[in-house]
Amino acid sequence: MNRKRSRSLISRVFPAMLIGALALPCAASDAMGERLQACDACHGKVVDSPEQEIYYPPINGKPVEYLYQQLLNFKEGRRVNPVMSQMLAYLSSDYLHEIADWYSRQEPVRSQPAADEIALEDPERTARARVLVQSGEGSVAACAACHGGDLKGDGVAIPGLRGLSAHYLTAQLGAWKAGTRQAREPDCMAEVARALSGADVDILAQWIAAARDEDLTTDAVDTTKLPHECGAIQ
Amino acid sequence: MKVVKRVSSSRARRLALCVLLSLVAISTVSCSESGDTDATVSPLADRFGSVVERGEYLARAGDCVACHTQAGEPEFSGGKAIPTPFGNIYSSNLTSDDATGLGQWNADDFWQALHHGKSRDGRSLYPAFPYPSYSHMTRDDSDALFAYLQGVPAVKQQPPAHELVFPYNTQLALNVWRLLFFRPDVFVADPARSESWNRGAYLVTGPGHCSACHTPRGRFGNSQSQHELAGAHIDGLDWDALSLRQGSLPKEDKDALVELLKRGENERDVLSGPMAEVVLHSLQYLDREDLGAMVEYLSSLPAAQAPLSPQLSVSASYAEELYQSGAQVYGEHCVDCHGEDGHGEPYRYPALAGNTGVTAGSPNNAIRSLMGGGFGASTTERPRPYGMPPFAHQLDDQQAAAVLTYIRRSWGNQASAVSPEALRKN
Repeated sequence: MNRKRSRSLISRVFPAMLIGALALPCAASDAMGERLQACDACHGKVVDSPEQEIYYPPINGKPVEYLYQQLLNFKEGRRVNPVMSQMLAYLSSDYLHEIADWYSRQEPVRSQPAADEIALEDPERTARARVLVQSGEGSVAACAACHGGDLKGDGVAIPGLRGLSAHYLTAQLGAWKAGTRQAREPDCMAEVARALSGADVDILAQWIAAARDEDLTTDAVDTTKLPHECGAIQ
Repeated sequence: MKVVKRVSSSRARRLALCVLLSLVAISTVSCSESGDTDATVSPLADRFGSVVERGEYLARAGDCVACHTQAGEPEFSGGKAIPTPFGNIYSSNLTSDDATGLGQWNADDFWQALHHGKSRDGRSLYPAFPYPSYSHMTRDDSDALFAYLQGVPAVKQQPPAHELVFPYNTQLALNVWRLLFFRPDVFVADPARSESWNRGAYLVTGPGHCSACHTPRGRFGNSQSQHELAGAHIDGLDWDALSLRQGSLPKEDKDALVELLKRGENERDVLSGPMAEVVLHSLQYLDREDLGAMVEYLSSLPAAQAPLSPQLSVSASYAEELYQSGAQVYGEHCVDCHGEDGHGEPYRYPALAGNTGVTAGSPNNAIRSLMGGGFGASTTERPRPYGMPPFAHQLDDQQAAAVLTYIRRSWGNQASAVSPEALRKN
């Protein structure tokens, strides 16, 4: 099994030792970027314009505990995605947390809205989206109450929603309604999603994906008064 | 007409045989528990400070936690669905809970389960619980394992009822199965062999229950002992367990295998799929001496490969076409990590040249690795594995078959070409 390899061992080990010595000062990152190329293949694509819309959510710069909970959710079956489950099946919790930490410290790969402004042009749909995002309605809490007026998230556990594609947002809200995306109990987003109609899901996903800074507010999240109890942020 | 007649008469014969066997089963089930010894001493005796420590080591060696733990639930609390061709079986709760676990059991009850495959109430257990292997364990090891499990904190959790189709859901069918395919059988050391060979044989055939995956099963889920450890398709998981019978290996290959089982990787290879899970929960915790003993035992078995299910064949000219286009796909997607020469990078990217997972008779595992990607197991010696990206959403069936054909036939690899049809089910 190892015959050819041994002949070239010295020629391989020596440069590796040199590289190893040079790399020592940055040992903290421990080549995480290289180890995680498998994730970057989908999640690390740099997207500069709405025309390049891709389904996979960008994860750079997302809050560390949010990412960690998602990794656990995939591994433990609360989120159903066979590819993600196969990817993560044999990793320790420690490594998953390191992965979450690594991505939380990366520069976001997308700064532009993820969809065309066309979604903002229909006055009726836009008015409805603003109600749902900014004030909420009945048992449906406002998106901004947890995700912030700018929808950039809060702290280490509440993710931002900017830069996510409309397809992805629709799929996630649908998955919560259908129970194929779950979080640790109490599952606050499941409660919100189940209270939304299909039409509202569509309006919200389109509008959030297209929203620019000027369409949003700067209201901060009052973490002492979150509208729902969330197992994932306790 | 002729065909119909033949079918119906063979069906009638089978039915008659079943009835006969059932009667035999009923009459013999009650006396099938005699005739075994419980005085044999474990090859692992005298290694540990306490019985409980030995029990913990045996629980690791037996990988109990993998089947008896549901994702996200406390260890050993059971309730995990084990998919079988006959329906789902749910693992039992091994914690010390009185009502739903083993709290009310004693060491004799546990021995009856492990060695005889019978529950405390006398009901036969389904062999998804691999008691045909555990039956080889010695009584003192059974007692040690039981002592350890009794110390596992109680978790109240009743596993769901099994979901087996008729007739497999009946005790009668199970007892017929036992009569045909199971005899309690404690491991007996071979005095002509070394101590380490015997220890390896014990670990492989007893607690390690390697044959549960690596030995092909017959129509009724019975191990086909004529192909012992010679490779099998794992139906419920859709991965292939490769043949463990590679024949006599040189020392450097044996050492490389020990490292592979301990770390989940060695200089050239990475374990993936269900075998990564075995490393995660079980093999990484075994002493290198024990892994070496297991490899020594396996290396002493004559080389063998169990027959494969029929594979899709590809004409020579189409294989050449796939190979040529596969070279391009390789250059675009694979070469950065796995290299022009297919040698990869030691401890980062596995070699594809000479990789038995890549060149296996069935391309199934290679397809799964390519399309689904995955990380190897986090182990104490390799806590941060490198990952392989999934290509299911980057390559179509044609491109995937092409690159697999290229990989399976380059750098000295001489495996069959892969038909795009083989990708369809993925």
